[in-house]
Amino acid sequence: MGKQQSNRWLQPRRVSVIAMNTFTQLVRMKVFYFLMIFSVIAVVAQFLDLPQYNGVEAVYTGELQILKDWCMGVMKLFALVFAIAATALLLPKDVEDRTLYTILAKPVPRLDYLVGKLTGVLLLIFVSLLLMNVMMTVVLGYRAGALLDEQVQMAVSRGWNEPAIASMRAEIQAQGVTWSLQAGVFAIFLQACIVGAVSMLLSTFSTSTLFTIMVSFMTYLAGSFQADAAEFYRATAEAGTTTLTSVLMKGVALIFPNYQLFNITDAAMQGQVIPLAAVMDLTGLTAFYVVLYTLLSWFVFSDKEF
Amino acid sequence: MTELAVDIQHLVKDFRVPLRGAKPFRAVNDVSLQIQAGEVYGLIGPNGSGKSTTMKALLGLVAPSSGTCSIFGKDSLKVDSRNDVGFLPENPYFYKHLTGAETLRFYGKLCNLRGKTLEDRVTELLDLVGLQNARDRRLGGYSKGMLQRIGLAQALVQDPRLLILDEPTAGVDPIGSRQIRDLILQLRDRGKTVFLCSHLLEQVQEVCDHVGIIFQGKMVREGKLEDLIAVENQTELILQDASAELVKEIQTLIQRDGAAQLVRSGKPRTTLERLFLQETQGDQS
Amino acid sequence: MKLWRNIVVVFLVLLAAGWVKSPWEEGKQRQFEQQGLVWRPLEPDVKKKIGQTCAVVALGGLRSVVASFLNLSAYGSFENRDWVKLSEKFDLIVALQPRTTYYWDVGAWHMAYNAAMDYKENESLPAARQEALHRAFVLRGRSFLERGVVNNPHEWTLLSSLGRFYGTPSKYPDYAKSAAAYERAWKTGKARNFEARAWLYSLARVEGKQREALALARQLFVRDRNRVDTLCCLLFVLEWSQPDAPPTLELLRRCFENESQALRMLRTYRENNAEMLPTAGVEHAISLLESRGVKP
Repeated sequence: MGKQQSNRWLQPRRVSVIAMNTFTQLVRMKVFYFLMIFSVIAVVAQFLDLPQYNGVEAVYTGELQILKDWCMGVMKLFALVFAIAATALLLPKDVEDRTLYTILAKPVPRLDYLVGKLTGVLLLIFVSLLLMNVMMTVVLGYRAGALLDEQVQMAVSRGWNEPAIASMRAEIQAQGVTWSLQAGVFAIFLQACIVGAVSMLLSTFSTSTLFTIMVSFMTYLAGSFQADAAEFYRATAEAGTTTLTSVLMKGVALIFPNYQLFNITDAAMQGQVIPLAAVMDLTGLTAFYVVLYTLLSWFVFSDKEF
Repeated sequence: MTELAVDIQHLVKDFRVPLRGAKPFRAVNDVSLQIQAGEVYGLIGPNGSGKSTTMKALLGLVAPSSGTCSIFGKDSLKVDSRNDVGFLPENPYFYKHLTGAETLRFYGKLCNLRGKTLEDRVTELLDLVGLQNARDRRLGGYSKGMLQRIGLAQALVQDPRLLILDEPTAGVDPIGSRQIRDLILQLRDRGKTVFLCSHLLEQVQEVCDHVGIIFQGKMVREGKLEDLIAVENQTELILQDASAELVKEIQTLIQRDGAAQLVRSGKPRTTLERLFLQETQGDQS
Repeated sequence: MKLWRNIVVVFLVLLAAGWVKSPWEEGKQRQFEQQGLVWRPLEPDVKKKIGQTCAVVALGGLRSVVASFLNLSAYGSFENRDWVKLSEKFDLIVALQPRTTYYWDVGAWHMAYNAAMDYKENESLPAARQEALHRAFVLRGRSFLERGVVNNPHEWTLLSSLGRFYGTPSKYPDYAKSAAAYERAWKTGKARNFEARAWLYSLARVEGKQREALALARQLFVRDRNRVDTLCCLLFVLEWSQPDAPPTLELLRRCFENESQALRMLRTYRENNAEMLPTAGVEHAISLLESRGVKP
């Protein structure tokens, strides 16, 4: 037995075995249950707890807006926290429990191990977001439908003509369930992929989960600020007033990813149309960063000693 | 000449000490050892003598500062060398969220086993280590002995030619310990090579063919077990149902021979372990 | 040693990769900003900018969660009538989510209506204070909504709300601004006919804009849908107010379907004029119709 298998890197089956194992490990963790339940309740709570004001003239699609704000916000928070925390604890846990030794003692290239771990985390985030997205879509669809019916009824009773009703219908539907909204959720997932990859890179340096989590969070903040740093440098460079600060800003702009690009989620929430090209751009950018950080993780991890 | 399962040549491993300006700590100092295929080799030494580091170098978990390690001719630093190895680390935990069967399945898949072959193998191994009844229990609920046994099963999943066991009976009760030792002997009979390290000397004595003694990173003594522990100039006779007259006659014979000397006579002692096993299992060893 | 070597290598690789990706990424940022897909919040004064923008940017995509929480918390302040806290919370909410029109609407409503009225009716305050606080909060609500419009220049709902805020007679009205807001709302192309009529009603109350109001009224009157009671009556009033106006009866026939309808509508217009629209000629028309024995 034990036929001579290919030990080339990134064997799909091997990676998927580790990924599924990571997925199962995280799902069976109590922390994950609590996080999931919290998120589900948060999304569903929309049904119940929305402050209802009587007398605000122009609520109209406003209630749909804040429903989306809330749900997408919860999804983003969950994805972010999970991408950082779950990835940060995976490697140290395996080292501490010595399960890493038994895995690497098998013919498993270290790259496969890393990619498998990251894939497992991202798979879990994807499935969770999908679940929450379905719930949000159902609630939103219901609410938008109810609003539409109510408004159309009112319009008909006031004798509106067809084009006007169609225009209003389009406006309400734009705030309801749309493909752009799905693009917004997808952007949340893409950002989580990068955040997770960063977290994994940091965890190859440090064996302290807490340290990894803190630094990962700080890189998230830096990434959110990156566009401004780049802009700052560009402005001073153009004006010819480059200082140490602006050079530092350029450094920040080079090293950190630009997370602001992923704020198209906000635009999606406001009912704006997200072009497919934008989604493709973000996907490409995500792939670039994930591959970069994974390769760097491998570089550090490949000669790490245990 | 039989194949060399393990070939370690002049292995040196230094570890950096965090203190500034301090010399690196030499955990392994020019250790060489060879293990023939089909042998049981025991590496013994006190805590901190470099046993685990030597094993880890063999498994590519640490990189040698100098020297080479190879398994069945393949360099330890290459992933290919792990095709033929099964490793049981010291005090392993494995994934608590998996059941016994799931654990074996996981490791089996990592070794490219699949489908019915994998399932059969899982069942076979669980039978071998005596954990059929616990196959669907999560590892979080296993006792120490059970964890060691599942560890052994996992090491065997791809039927490797070489087994590396780091303190296989550490912290295990006498019954479990005996079971593990019996297993090792079974494996030896099936032609497997076993490389184990331990500081429980009596147990090493019971299973190993070859022994190496490592102390402060250096191999101080090495060779066949029988040769090493034979007290050269003594002979042992154990008699059953011997009468007092016969004993007296033997003593007279010894006195008549000028060179030989009677060192000790009396009732041989059983070991506490044998007594324990006898009482708890009715074992007649 | 190895650790530091690794850190340096990773750092250098990130810099190099950054050098490669930077132009593309910055280009995308600009492109997305142009397309309105991402935006940086607008703050009018620099001091605020330093304080809030950093925090806002740093929160990044978590803005919406924090805004939602604050919104819930603001509801509590509303129930407790803690108007100052409520205003502060809404300032923060809109700093986080400047594009969610709902927050601008509700915030302004709280300030200009709920808070203002609460102060006005607060027996424990002297009359002068009641009035002062009422005014303060009305103006605060209006300027809050103005900021909302600046952040969302194409949102007709906010413009309509602004028009209403400026056009309420009991709330220190500025009908010129009200008309301007409604006009902008209407010209976004997404507003309802209501906004067009509201534009007219405000315009009609601005000194010296009667001719423009009349032109607008005539334009709106062309469409059947706009021939609501108020509009018909107002058209009549504006026509009647012209120096070269035709005889009353002829005007009535132009503006109303029949004399009976005219009488009914004009009577209602006269009695329910809370909006304080111009009423020139209404009395005269009513007397004329009654003298002709018209029954409403």
